[in-house]
Amino acid sequence: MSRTRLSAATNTWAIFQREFMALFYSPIAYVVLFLFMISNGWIFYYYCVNYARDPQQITLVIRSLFSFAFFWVLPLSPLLAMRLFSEEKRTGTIEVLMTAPVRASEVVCGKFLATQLFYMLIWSSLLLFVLMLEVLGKPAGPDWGPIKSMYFGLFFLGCMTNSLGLLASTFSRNQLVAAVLSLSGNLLFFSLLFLGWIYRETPELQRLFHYLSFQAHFSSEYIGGGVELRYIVFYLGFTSLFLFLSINMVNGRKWR
Amino acid sequence: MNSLAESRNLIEVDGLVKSYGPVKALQGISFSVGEGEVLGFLGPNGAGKSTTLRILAGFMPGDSGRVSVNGFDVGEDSLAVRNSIGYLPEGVPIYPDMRVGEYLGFRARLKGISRADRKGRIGAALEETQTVDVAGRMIGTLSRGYRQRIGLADALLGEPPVLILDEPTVGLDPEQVRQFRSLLQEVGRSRTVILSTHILSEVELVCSSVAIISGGQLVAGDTVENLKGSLADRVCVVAEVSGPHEAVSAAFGALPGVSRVETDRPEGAGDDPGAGYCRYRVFFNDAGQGAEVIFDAVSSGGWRLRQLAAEELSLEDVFLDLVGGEE
Repeated sequence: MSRTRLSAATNTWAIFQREFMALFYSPIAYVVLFLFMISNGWIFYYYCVNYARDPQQITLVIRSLFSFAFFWVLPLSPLLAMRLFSEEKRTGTIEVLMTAPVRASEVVCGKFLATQLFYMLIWSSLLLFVLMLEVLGKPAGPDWGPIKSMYFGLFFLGCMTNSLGLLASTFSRNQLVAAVLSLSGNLLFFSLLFLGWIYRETPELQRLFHYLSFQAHFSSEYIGGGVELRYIVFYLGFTSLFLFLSINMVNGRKWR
Repeated sequence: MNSLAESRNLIEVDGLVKSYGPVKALQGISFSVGEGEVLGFLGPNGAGKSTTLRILAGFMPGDSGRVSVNGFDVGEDSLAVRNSIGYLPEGVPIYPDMRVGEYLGFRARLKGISRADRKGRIGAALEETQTVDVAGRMIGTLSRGYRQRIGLADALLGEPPVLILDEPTVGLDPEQVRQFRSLLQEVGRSRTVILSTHILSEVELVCSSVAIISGGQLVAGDTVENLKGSLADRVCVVAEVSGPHEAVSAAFGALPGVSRVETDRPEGAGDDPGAGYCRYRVFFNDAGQGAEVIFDAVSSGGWRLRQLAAEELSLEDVFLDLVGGEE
């Protein structure tokens, strides 16, 4: 039993390493990172130049930075995860991969973890801006509490969107189709908040939609500086569901 | 255990059926491959060779029928099956963005080769496939022949008892094909190998037995000798005759016991007698007939005869006979 568990861990680790390296080999990761940093850099610059005249404004700058960057939640996972299985199916490498003695769960987990790590790396590039404020904004500085909880939330939200992106990429051998599918999923969750606003007459519905949407969690987290357990449960629940479905998709492969 | 192992079948396929939607790829195929046997899997394109091998390798399930490899059921014990095979898929799909050594290291880990053994095994596999000099190269920059050999090195990595190779010599140059065949002969001594191909000479050279598949059905399965033997009582007579083409063909075709007549004469070439010799291959259904009858036919037709010889039938004839007969 412990041997199988050990082999599961080594297999997952091997897949994780290969997948993480593959992200650095592919141009898409660099393109995404470039766009991410340039868009956020511009916003940071804009707010610093226009608002950061006195130390009290640092919070405003950080808040604006993160609320604009938050829109990256929508395309980031689809872009990073779209090739995970689509590429393997398109080039046929899935055949070599799945005829090695590995379980579908190990492959799915390895790929998921690699994407998750890369996802967090991209988000961590924002910390450069915060560090700048920390160094240059003395004696005042950024309040790290909300930033920590923001990252905490992004991690769990990333779990959910990355697993959705991974699931989407098991559906098609076309990366674009996979990306559009998972982007649509993300947009669906994103737009639920507005649906909640439409149904504001019915508090139950509004609460439900509010709960299911992405942003609501974040605005409250960011302001409050803490993360509510129910949101983590929400994200991890969907993550497990998507990963479970992905494993089933890979296991029940009918593709030629 | 050894006495048991000597006679056991490492691959057993029984009534395997597989369809892709309305297309029936396999319609109840059964065969077995014994330990140390090298089976050539022959068939025209689209006959179901790759499908069978994919099911054997545990890549996808069949619709019905029983398939076992190394004593494990492919459906129920897929992991054990995949542990005992080395599989080289058609077209060798391997990650182009990895270096050869890196890739084999990755594969060795997936195959559960311990860290201590890894380096030695990879070295041995590179050695065996003569790819040591490209170990540091990016796979995407390698030629087709090299990629093919890297794929084979990967298949050999785990020292599996069963090798499943789908069209392993496609894309190799003649020298590489020769090397590959000798490698295969070496490898086949200690392992069970099933390889698909449409090159018949390859099967005659490398394989101990043949399974011929056509339209999703097994049309023949036997040792190379037996298959050729089954044709031995049939005779092929080669005659080079100068005469009106139509008349000669018709005369040969009408002879008793003749199954078919082949000729290398181009279509529409003129029919003036005496202009040139044309080569005819006349196949007879039963032994005892042959050169004499041809000679009589030629002399009674008043044509000229340059060469007359009985030919040993090759596997190609068996193949064309079995597969072409359905047209």
